[in-house]
Amino acid sequence: MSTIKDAFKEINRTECFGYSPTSSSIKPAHIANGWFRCVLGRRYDPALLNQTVVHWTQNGEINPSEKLLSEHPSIFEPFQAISRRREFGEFRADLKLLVSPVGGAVNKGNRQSSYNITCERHITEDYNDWGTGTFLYQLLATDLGAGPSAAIVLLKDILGSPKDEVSAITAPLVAQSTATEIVVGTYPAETVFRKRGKSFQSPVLNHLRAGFDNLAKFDAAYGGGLDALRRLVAFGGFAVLLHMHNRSSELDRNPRLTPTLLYFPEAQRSTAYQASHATYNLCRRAIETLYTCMLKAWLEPRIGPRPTAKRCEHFIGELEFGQNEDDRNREQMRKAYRSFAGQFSGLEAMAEGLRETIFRDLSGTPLDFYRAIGVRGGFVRPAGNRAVRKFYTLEGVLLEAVLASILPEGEMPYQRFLEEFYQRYGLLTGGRSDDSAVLMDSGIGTATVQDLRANSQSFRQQLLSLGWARRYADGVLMVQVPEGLR
Amino acid sequence: MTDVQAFLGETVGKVVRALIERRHPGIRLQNVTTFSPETLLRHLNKEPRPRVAIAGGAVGHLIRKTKFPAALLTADLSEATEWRNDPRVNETVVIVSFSEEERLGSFHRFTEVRDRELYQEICETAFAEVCPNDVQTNWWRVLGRPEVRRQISVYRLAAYFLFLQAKPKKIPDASRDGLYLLGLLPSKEFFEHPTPAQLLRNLNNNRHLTNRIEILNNADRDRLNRGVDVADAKDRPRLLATLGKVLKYNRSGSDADRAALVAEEVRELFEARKNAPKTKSQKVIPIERAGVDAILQGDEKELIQLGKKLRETIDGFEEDETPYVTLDLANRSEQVMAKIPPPLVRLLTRSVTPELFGGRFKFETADTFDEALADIDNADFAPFGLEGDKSCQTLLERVIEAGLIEPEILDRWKAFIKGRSVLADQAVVIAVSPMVALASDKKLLQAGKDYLDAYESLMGAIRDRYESVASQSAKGARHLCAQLLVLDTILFETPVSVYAVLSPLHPLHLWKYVRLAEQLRDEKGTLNDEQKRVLGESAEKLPHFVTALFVPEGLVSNHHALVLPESHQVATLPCYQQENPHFAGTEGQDRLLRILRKFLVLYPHGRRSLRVCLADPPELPGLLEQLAGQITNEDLPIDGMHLTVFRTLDRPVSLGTDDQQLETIASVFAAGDAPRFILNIHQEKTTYQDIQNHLRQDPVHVLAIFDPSRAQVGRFVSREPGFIHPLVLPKEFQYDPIEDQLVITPAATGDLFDVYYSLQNRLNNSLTGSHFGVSSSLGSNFPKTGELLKSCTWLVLGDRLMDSLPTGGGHMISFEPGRRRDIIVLTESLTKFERAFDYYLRKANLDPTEESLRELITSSAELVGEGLLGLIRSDGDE
Repeated sequence: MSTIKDAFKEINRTECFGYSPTSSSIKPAHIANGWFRCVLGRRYDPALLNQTVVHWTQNGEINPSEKLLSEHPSIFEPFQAISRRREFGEFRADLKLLVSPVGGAVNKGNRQSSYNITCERHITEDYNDWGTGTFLYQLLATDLGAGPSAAIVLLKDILGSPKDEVSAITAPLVAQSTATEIVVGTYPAETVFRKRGKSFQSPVLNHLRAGFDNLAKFDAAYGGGLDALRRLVAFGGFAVLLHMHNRSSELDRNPRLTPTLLYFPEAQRSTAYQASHATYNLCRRAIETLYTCMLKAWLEPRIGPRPTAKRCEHFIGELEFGQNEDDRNREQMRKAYRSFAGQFSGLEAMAEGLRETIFRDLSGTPLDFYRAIGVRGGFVRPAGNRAVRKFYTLEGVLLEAVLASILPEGEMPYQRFLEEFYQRYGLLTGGRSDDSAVLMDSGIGTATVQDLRANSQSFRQQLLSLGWARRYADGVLMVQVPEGLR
Repeated sequence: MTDVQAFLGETVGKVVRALIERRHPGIRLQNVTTFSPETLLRHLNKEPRPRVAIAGGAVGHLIRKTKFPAALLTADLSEATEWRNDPRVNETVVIVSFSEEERLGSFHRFTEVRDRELYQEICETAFAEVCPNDVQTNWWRVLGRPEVRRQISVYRLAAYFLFLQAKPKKIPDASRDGLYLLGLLPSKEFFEHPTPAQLLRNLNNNRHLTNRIEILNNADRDRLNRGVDVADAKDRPRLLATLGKVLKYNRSGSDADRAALVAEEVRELFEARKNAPKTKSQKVIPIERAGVDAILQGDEKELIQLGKKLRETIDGFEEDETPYVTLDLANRSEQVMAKIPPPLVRLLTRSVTPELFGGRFKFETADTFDEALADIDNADFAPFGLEGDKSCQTLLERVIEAGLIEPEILDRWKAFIKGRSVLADQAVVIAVSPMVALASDKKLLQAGKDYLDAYESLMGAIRDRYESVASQSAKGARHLCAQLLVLDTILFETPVSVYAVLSPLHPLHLWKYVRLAEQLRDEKGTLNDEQKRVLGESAEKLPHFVTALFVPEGLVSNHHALVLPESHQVATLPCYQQENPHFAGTEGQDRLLRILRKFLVLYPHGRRSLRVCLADPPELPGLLEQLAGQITNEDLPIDGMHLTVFRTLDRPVSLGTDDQQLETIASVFAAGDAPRFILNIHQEKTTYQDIQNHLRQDPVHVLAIFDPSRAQVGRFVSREPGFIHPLVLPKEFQYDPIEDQLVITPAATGDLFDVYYSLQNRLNNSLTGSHFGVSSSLGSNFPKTGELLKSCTWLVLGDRLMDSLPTGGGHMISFEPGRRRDIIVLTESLTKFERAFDYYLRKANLDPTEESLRELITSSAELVGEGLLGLIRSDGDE
């Protein structure tokens, strides 16, 4: 019998998502690195960039300035004078701030380093995207009748011929790194990208693909360059999150997207905040449910559809967890099973217990992974680990990316825009008449309509202040591409 | 249409009807919870009938169902606009829209009915229909409060009301059972002690419990499982069933699963472990406290067990472990926590052994004490050892060989070494928890006593013979004396400063623990429980008696002797830093948050936007993290904050570099676009005058200034040989009549200290009876507090020896003495307190005069502890 650890890996890889959401340290830069690597089909080893940026580690100085200057005199020629050594140190520190993602993803050596990528030579072999890069690539590369998404062409273009200052500064440091070709291969979870005619079977993937196409259209017309990369990466992270919390209902053949209520903070927290937090819990539960269902399917052939308590206990005794702490895990599993057994059927209780045991044993659970991407992408707030009551919002680049993914050009009335917001991504703001009912249908009765409307008003104001909306004299609000960009 | 929607339609009808009767020409129902228009129309279908426009409504169907006149009903907003503009239309026009209809903007002058009005109306209806007793009336009053309205939706409230209405004979029971409809857990004891404040507390506690089981982090999961584990066979099935229900609700979040739970049962499960006999709870107490309690209770077994566990933990301690460890107690439900900082373990292992008496570490790069402590492996270490040309023992032997002192003195030295060698094996344990280490091992305690006696005897002998030795070799005598004085001192010499830490075996440090352990053992029988409790609390953190450390010349590249003032502590060991005029530890800083909470109770308007100014907070990132944490958890209930931070000392003020800390801070102060929480840090050094000028332009609610005084190391003369006790660091008061200045100096004299100081004085050519001490004084540039209070409501000052500093203006409302930093709160106005005192005195049938009231307030302010602030409960309850 394979161990539980292996089984869980396999379920993640081939059934759930195709990627392994088991790290709480994942950052958008990791996703971008994995994604761009697949898009370009190659990676680099920008060793000198790494040595320049990584000056000190916890063990002390590892790349002394003297060594760099003596080994690469021509590259660091401006800093060769003794009087400019201090400036060199400062340059290295500043460069680190520039190319190293917030929270740190650049380490000693490129094997586990991801940079704020601005050109293809920044792409490394770092595997810390946990497969999300391949997922996004597959989402864009699948031919839905008109070839791959335009976003791929856009990405290749930006990364292949960078025109920004960051790439210019790092150019001498990455010039010598050579490309290593990579093969993407088929996607491990074959059910994820299953097609029906010229579209995916999965509604959320269809919407995300359309979103990427729109974003590419928007950036081809108005953006490009680093801004386009930022928006694409932000939307990429968002796409992973959406996929995660909708996957369970998707496998259930439920066409409805899991609702997520965006909350735009006001002076006082209202019931809209409570409801947004409730939708966050709902999404967490959806992810847990997915795993429970998968584990149930794994367990059923082993213990039967209606196992007795004795059979379950016996099976727990036989389980191999694939760790040194087999006994501890077994005890944990036994306790979890007994706790659930009073409320669920034998098979269900086993599946729940097994999921809980596996999650407890992971250093980062899928829920931690989900939170980490959400917080770092500007979709989930507050960011602090101690702040357990999270809510959804859209901030900064992510807001712009999501807006552009719906409205790449022209304008549309606010109400229609909200409809699109919900239909495509399941995002609610409280401005639609049905929003309250949607929440109620999901068991969230915490929001008062007045508060939902006030929340929608805050969103309107945000759109207006960003230039993404215009209010006409009759009070009608039109969402539009900002004039400044046009 | 659900019952709730029908009920809401009726409620809307009542609100609209009331407005019609007050002759409102237009009413707009826009941002309200979905209700049944049918019920509304039925309710409005009597004279005076309004005209009703229901945007997008199925008018034909509604007319059929309600018999509402067709001429008065439309689904077309443009028709409603015509009604509004037509002077012949006398009826009230009611506009209903369930979506965010922009075209309703033209009806903006119509009176808007919002969810708030519906919520209030439901509460009013409830008062009339489902409040058979005062308890229910109080409860619905609580539900009507604005802060509760922000947590409970109109829909939920309506559902709850209907639930009660359906059970007219069992309303009290239904009120408990139906709590799940409000998003809470059903509760049996919710309505016990039903004052409004208690009900609000119950509601908040219930909400927290619900949130907790909705999220259910790993620690809570463990807690619940342990609760089942420790239960006896009789209770276990019941607790297991509760656990199953909790997990089911956690997975589904549904109303039905919440309805199956009972708050008390869930709480019982969380607390089962705590209540279990002979088992441990999650409550954690400091290890020293547990040790002292065990001594006072005469619980030898507990003490021995605790000492054994601590020793085992330290023996198996690895460097990368977290410094905090928890240990189980044999006879108490709590756990104890000990802090074992790995760098300290490394330091003591290297420098404090039977052969090594501390030493000097010289660093080439370290800038701070912490950096130095973490980097001792790269430092140049010169130990104070037994052997060696200039070691204490070698010098002593030479003096004896030269016949300058009797050979018996060497025996005293050997006795000293022998006692010390027993203690040295336990140096780390003594550093972590001296009371537990000593009291749990009678041999160790005896060794400690012998060691101190030997030290006193040795030092006394050297003191008495100093002059005769000095007459033969002045330099030799000084060397010997210097070596004796630095025994068990660890010096850190960095390029920027000199730091020192006393080894756990330093006689003047160890002294207090040995004496106290002895005394508690001997006198526990004479103490009552209250005295034991106070003793336990005091013994938890004993004062350090060496407030300024003398470092003889030549030991750290110093040509002259140095006196280092105390700066902070590591584990239980005092640390010293050259030229450090301000205490650097965080003591007292955390009290600021409590003070802010109390401020908000007295000045609730401050919640909207609390304005706080900080000057020189000792550790800003930690303070901001705590602050942000409390704001997020709503422990500090504010909607906005404007926090300005200034720096007047050399001590830097910054946000730090800890990612987690920064994230927590950013989650509040950088959240969203709305500038509700503003943090303004002025990192450049400024003056109090500038701060004052800034505050004049921009006053604040609370101004907190830390460490405005400068510590001065000086030489002080004791007039009387003191008596000293381990629990109290005596203070000396010296009045300078010419300068009209009172200088207060914490100083230990008597016992071992006298002999130590007398040797120090000989080495230092000072007067007999003098010693080094630290006093504080406010600089002349520090403004009078009266002036500062013109720009703030409360002024908080945190400093050492606050009682000796002249403040100048304002009424003190709280004085909390600390060991190294006192906290006082001053205010200009006592009106709030006067009103409250007056009210409560009159409630007790007393008739206080204004004068007596003030006198009472002033004397209450001086109560030890929080003074007047102690009378304010931060949850606002009376």
